[in-house]
Amino acid sequence: MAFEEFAAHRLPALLRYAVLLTGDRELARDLVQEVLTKALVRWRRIERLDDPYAYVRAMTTNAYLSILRRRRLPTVALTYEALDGPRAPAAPDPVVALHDRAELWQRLTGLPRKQRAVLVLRYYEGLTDNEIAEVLHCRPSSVRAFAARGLATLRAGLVHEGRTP
Amino acid sequence: MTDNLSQLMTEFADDLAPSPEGMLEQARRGARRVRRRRRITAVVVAVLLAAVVVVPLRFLGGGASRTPYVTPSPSPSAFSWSRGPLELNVELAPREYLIIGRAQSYRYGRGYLTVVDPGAFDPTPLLGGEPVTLGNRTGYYLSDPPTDSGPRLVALRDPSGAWLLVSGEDLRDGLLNAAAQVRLGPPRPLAMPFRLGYRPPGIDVGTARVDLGGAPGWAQTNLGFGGSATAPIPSMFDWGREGSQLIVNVSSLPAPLEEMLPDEPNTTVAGRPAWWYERPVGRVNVGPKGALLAVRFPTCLFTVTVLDRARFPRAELERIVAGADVRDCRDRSTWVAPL
Repeated sequence: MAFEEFAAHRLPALLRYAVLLTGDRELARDLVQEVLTKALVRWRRIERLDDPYAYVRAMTTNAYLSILRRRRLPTVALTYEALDGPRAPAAPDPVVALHDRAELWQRLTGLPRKQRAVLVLRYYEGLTDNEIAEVLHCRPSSVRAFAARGLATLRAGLVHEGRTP
Repeated sequence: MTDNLSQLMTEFADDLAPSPEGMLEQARRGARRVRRRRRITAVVVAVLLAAVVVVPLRFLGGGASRTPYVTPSPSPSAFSWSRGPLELNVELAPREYLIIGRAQSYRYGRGYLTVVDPGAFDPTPLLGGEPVTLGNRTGYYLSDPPTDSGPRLVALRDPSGAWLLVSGEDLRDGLLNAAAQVRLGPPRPLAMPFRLGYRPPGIDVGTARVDLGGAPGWAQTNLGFGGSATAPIPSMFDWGREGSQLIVNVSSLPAPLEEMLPDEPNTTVAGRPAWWYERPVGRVNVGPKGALLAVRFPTCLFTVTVLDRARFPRAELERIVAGADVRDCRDRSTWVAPL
């Protein structure tokens, strides 16, 4: 498969995955751009793999987990509400049930990185715990622990004041 | 919940994913740069290797130690701290900010800043952290802190006595750099698109929140009465848990709340279309003993919710609405102090 063909078919999916990981549209684009460039440099090796997308997705995950830079100074919020504007229900509001998309998004983006990566890989990408363990270079038991902690955090917010969905 | 999670993640991803336009071209340019850099690096490495051979070993080791982390010093906070219940001290213009009791919180970039009034924060939960000094502020850095607002936290005591709590997704140095940028200043009043002429006696304001949403001209503002509880490490996530008994919410139209109401207006208040509910309705959580009154103004939806309608009956809520001076929700230049 040519790199251009891969990009045409898989780039949108990678961007969707990255925005779930990062919670930030600009950062997601930066991250995928960086990964895409590296993948192109290594493409002759990657294209021989059974599943090039899985490999590039793992590159994206690892790049996300090892973000060291913060090139932008904190200035303007880029939240789910900011991105979606008035169409989005506002962030936590006592008069609105907590299963708002905005609320869940906020809680998801507030999770520690590995917990969030595990939840996104499991519930968005549909990977098994063993497959996630390979991506994250950890044991399946660790994956289960990360998932349990992440879900517990999400549930803790949703159950608050009895407003379970 | 997990079924919901999969579905919501799919919705988030579809809604928020950036466009791939131009990325392939940029990758090609980037790859060309990487290859060129590698060729140059290979030459440089070869030269350095040759040099290393003749460098005495004593110059390569011994005495090296990690350079301490240094950040730009924050500007001196040369002012006497003062803050009224609806005033802000941070020189920052984020899209969402709120006050809960003696803490003011701001959402910035990928993190959260909370400033707690002098004397109102107990740093005990931080004491196991790494001591840090940024300019004239000292405090702690914690990974995995006991707070909902992020996996890392920097807490600094300002010379004014206020505590700055910066948390979020950034790694240690990024968070320290963000903390170093925080400037405190004299208080400035928080403005909202309304001013209350009447409020029920015996209940004090405890929270205030402004969410500018992101779309030009859109805003949601809240005033909460009768609750100001915060977590031991206060953060934006205390909002909704502070125990408000009465909340005034004024949002630009189209208001998210209005979109959630299943019915057309079912009453009128002061000649304006309005909704009155004494039960949970749609996704709006009124509460078993509570009530909701929503009134549509030209550019705003003015909503009052209460937890206990026996304590705050409909007549009281209507009096709040009737006494309010409601400005233009879309034009912030018309906004005023809400009390």
